[in-house]
Amino acid sequence: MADPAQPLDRPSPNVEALVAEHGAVLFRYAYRLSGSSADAEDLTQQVFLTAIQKLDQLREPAAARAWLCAVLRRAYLRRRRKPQPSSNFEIDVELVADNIPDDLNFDGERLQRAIDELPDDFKLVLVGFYFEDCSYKELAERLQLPIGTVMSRLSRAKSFLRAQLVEPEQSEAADAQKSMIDPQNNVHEPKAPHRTSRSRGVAR
Amino acid sequence: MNDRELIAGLNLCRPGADDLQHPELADVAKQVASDPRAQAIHVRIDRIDTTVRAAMHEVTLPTGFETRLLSRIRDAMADQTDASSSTAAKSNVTSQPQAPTVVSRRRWLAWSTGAAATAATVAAVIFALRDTPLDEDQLHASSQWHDALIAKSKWLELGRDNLGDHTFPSELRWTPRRYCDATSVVGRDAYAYDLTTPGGPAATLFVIQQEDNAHLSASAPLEPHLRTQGYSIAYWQRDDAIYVVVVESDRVEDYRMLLRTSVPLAA
Repeated sequence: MADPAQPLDRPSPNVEALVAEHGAVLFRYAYRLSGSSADAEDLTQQVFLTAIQKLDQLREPAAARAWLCAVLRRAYLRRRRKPQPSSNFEIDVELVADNIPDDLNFDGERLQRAIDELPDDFKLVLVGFYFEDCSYKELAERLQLPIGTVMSRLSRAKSFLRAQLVEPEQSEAADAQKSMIDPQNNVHEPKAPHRTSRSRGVAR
Repeated sequence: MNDRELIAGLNLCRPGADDLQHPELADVAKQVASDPRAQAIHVRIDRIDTTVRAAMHEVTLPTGFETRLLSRIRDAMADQTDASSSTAAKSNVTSQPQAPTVVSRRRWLAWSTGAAATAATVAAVIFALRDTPLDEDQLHASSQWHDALIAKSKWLELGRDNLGDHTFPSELRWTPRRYCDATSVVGRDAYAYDLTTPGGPAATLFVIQQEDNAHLSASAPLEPHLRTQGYSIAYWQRDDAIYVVVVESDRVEDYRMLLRTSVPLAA
């Protein structure tokens, strides 16, 4: 909240310190969620404006980042025009471990495209896992979701991401590797995850 | 344990962390400890996760990001202070601090192009923005208006002597008990009415003066337009006013509890 005693031409020192320390992180987090640089800037601004109003709620300065990230998640969800039909999005875990490559080679744009494909429910869990380095238990607390729901979403979102990021040649190599292991190629089930049938829902 | 179960469990482990110690993953940990193939899969997933985690943070900041951010915060704060003092001067009703509004980066860039964009110009543009019709994006942020009022506003009781001065949309089942001037929060002529019912979640009706057609439905919707993160938001426009209902609950039932069943509702 603006202090009337503060000159109007500059934000309070607390806000400047918050921006200096967390502005870049929040922008990156917002970008991963929104997929747009302009939206990420707007979201980051919104977070700090909200933070100014509610700074008194921040009891532990050490928890500022987690608190700001929580404000960001809420701001992001509020900006979404409509709740997404995530129940129409089918994601599953790989059925065959041999399809998981040794490592992945991708650029940031490709990573973002893959994240953008995820419904918000999955995206928030996935980005929280990688970006905030939260365990599934911490994610459940922060997102106020049952732990089983978070476990399921996280696992499926990660499998989906891997499938999106795997290079075609890596995929072929994995298939070849699988064929070498299993020349008949008739034991393993087809490679998952996949995103298909809009008529089939996802058990949550 | 089959591959699917193994991968599902390993997917829950953060790279380099000891998440396999969690009791929910005891079976997976046992498998990894006893099966070299499972151990190799764990290593592969861990390696990929390390790569993805690093890439997740690799986002280039736009040029001038921090300066622009501080500048926009400064302007929003100045705008907020101006609006609060101006409203307080106009009305005897105690005005509340206005929820600062986000100035879109796109609009901001258009305004601030060139170093000649003076403070007076920016102030004029912000003032002009206040006269633009509300759109759905702004309405989706109405839970912030609600938050600001619920937390801090001085509400005035609605009673026999002043109830006649207010009109409410026919869709509402309950007559509000109290109200306040929400102009400083909404950023245009507006009143807020407390719709909270005993035992029910906090709820607010905003009545916002707007003659321009916002292309909203003419009656309250059967289901809220937005249900997310603990809020439900519904809005409609009739008789030169936009009505916005904000409920501190994302359950449809809590929103419907506020509506009459005998009145036609928008689909």
